[in-house]
Amino acid sequence: METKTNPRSSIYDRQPQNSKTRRQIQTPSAESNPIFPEDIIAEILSRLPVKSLLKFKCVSKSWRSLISSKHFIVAHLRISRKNTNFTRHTIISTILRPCYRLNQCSLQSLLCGPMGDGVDSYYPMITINNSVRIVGCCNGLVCIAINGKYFCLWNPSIKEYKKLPDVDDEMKMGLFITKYGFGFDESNEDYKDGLPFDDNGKYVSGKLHWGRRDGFNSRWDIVSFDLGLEICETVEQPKYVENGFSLSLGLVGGCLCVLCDFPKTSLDVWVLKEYGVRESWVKLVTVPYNLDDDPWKGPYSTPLCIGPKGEILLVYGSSFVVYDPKGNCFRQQKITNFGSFLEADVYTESLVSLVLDGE
Amino acid sequence: MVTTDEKGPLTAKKKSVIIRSCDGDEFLVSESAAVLSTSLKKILEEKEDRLIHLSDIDNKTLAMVIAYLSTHADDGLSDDLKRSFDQEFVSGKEFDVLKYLVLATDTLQVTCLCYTVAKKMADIMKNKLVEWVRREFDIQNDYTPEAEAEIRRLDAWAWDDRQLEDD
Repeated sequence: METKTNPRSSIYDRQPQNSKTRRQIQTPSAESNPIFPEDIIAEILSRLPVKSLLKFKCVSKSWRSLISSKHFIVAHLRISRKNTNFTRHTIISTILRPCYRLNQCSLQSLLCGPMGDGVDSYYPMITINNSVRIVGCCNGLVCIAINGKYFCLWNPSIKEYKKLPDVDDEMKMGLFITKYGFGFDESNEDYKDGLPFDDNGKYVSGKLHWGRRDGFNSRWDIVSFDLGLEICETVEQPKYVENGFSLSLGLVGGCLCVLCDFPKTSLDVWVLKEYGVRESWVKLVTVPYNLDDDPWKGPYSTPLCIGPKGEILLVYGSSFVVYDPKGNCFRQQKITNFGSFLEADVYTESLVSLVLDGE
Repeated sequence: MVTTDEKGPLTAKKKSVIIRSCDGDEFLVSESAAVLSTSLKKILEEKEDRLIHLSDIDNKTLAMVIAYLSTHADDGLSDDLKRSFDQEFVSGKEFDVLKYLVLATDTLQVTCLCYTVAKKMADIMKNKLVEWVRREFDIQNDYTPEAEAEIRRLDAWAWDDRQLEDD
């Protein structure tokens, strides 16, 4: 009757006995509920916030095992990352006063709302005397350094953490060592701290990246370190048309970006849309410096996110600024409970667990 | 058996197909709209039939899917308009309606609509009680009361600050 070569043609007068049929759906004329295949359930659940999913583990054993499965966790993270309203993204920042502590704020409220709502973040091993810095964010996890001594992997969305093995004494010099990188070794499925550099590493595609100039007159390179293979390479850069700028490396929307800063004039943001494809470098936006009555005159930080209408969120001095390239206008975003801060980073909420592997 | 109608009035209209729901209603659909469904596209590539019978999609659900496909096949509409159509399309729809819709998008392999509907369902579900979810998906609670209490205890913090809805 039906051709055997194409299982999907089974929707064509689908026969119940067709073994290739993935499932059976009761006819909707019946009063009873239809039967949902697991992949449709997964499609729906992967669009829920983490908090709802933790509760829905109680629905049934099969829901719990689905929600806890690695495959689902990865799919959920992928979808959360792409959430264009940024409801699954949080800004996390080191606040300087009265002591080094962490605050966080929903990225959506910062990008769209009239005012961001900053809240204290109860990081692992928090005490009144501990100071904390952010090393990096990756796959829903935040890597923090406590007192410049201990490193901790932390998933704030599910309140799980894992203290990392102590690093060499040599690497502990100074109170706040945060110039490391933090990324995920996809081949061995392990999180790794990188080597110390002059800036913290940017994690894309299984590799950590740093911008580096070897000597005073040498060219600026993007160096990558493959966490699985443990080899270093350089990443091809865009064909800059101008010169006279200083370069730095950033990460926006999961893509590597290069910031060309023309002091007191503007900042060009180049984005590598497709990793490994040199032709995919595009100049996304040029953000002018708005120097009127501005005491800071310093450079912009790496962009934190690009909104659906092309608006770009940056840190300028110690404040958050949204630049809308279409209207060429700036908006300084107020945020409660956020004094002077050091770095600001964005993490995506996720179910990624740190205690799965027999910990 | 496959229904074919070689002499039917449709053989002349090469750019249209007829899709029949499980309850027998027939819908005339442009081929450009139909092929946005991966399943229908495969059928049309393999067979010359212009009548496709879907044995597990009812007329109301099918009408909605076809409205979606026709809008997305309309070259005169901008992507922005299509996006706002998508939002409009799912807004205000009952969870029950969305359930059949998501299953139909799966059968017909209309990925974009599947994602849109799944997102809407998730938005409705996110603040609901576990009991509501069990009811809507017809799921038997297979935990012992002790086992369920233990799972609730593990992530107790996730339960405390939400206004949960049961309807």
